Amino acid sequence: MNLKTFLRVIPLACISIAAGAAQAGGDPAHGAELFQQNCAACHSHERGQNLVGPSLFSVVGRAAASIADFAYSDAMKRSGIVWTQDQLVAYLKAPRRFIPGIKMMFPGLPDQKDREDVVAFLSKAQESAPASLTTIDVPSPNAALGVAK
Amino acid sequence: MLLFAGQASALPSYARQTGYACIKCHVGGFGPQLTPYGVRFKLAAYTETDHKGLKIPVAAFIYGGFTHTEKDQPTPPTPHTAVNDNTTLDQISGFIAGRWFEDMGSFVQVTYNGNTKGLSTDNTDIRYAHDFVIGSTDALVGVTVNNNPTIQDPFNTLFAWNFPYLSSAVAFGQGSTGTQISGGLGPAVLGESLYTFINDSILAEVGTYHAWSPAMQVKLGLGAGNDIGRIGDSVYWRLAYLQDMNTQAFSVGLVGFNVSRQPERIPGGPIDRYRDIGADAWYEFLGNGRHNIAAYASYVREDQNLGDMVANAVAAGGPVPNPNERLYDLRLNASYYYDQTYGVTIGRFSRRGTSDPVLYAPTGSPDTTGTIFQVDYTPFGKADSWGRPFANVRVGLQYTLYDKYNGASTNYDGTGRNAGDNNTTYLFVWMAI
Repeated sequence: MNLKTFLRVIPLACISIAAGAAQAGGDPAHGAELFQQNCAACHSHERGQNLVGPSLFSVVGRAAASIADFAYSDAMKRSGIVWTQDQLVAYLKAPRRFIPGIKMMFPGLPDQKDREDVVAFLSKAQESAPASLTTIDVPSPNAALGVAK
Repeated sequence: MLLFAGQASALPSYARQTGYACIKCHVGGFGPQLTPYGVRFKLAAYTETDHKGLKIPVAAFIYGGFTHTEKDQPTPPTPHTAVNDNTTLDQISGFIAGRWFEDMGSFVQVTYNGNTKGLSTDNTDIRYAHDFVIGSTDALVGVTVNNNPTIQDPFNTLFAWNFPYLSSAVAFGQGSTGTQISGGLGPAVLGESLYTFINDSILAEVGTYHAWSPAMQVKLGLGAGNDIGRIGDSVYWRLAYLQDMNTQAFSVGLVGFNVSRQPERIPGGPIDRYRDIGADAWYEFLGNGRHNIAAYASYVREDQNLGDMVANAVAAGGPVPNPNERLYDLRLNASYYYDQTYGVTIGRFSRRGTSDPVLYAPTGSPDTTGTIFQVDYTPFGKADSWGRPFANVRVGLQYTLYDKYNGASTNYDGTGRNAGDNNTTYLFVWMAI
């Protein structure tokens, strides 16, 4: 990792760690169940394993539309979002209302606690991974602003 | 007798295209009951994909079974079958089903009918759809070219995809009379519709249908003597509202179909006019996948003005039917699946109409009513299923109980045959690859 890349990665790594630390009381065990029921058909939480949806490995703190080999919608590319925990919780309420035009056909989780639990699960999975794995693929937020692909 | 009964489809090519298990889009892990996700997949032109590897949009299925009726049929239902206890290979179908381009995909079926021993075009729905975002509104806008009114509909309330999803082709179906929207035209027509699906909730569609020429109908394998005549002034429309709450969903809707038919294809000749209008409701509980409940309802009223039929009767000097008739078609059904494997479904059908001693001789009534019970077993189709996505099987036992058939409970044909004599048991096996 050269210095330029290192300086780009550090801020997002900090966001990632902070978001993971601030799990707002979410229950990761229940989140794991909800993930399996609602998300696992389209998303893996394994690194590099894209399904119909992109891998959610290390998603907390990641810029939207930042996995290079995944075909995101234009709407997601343009969103400019960095997936903090709060953003994820808000997004999961009604994803297609949060970012109109995205491909993901998921109506959302109406219950705030359920959403926090899912994000807690993703954050915990991220924390459990070696630090090198959680940061190595995190690009600049600018990469999501239509120039990622 | 309905030799084309059973419009069933569950297509592994979609599973291969998306990487999903069948249960993602289908209640019970087999088609054609669509989940809310399946509804969107269809409306979005069958194009969603995981972009992994080469996707070949080809699939096939086969089904057949054993049919027993309460009493022997008056005559063998086909030249190749007996008056009762028939084991039949009902359909072998090939499909071009899946994504063609970014916004375009298809469900195109060609079927070998084991009972008529014929190959013909079958359900066809080719779509283009694109998402437009205007402010906070997401509008999917699409075009469908299809060959049967309601084949393009994503809900299992309307006729092409309503329960029973397959049935014996060598039994009695749902009577001799039906509305135009409930299979009176397809697949001998070609239709085009424009539709939009706004914010994943509001579906609006308008379209029209035209009849294939007699020569083209022969080329499509639909037979030389089955011409549906000239079709004119046809307007198909649909409005529906879908509310998806993730673990459960419901929709309510309206549908309409106006069409005129000139059976002899005489320019300027008398025509029969039909105006169908209906309402439907759809509910699914998906929960966490362990217990699935689905309930569907539809009701259609058809007003008929039979100008051509009356003119022909007058010209022949015989008895003349009423110029204006009305039909009512009610369908209710509910299914429960445990673990997306073990299913039980009960369905009620009721086709009624105005009396006419000429048109509906000998009873003078078109009424056919009954109840269908089905239990089935679908061992595969889940995310961890063996052989996924190539191994897909459903085995089922279906029993149809008739209260009335072609206008009467007893002696409906004037020879002493009762509606209950037509009660049908159908044991089927349905496989898709």
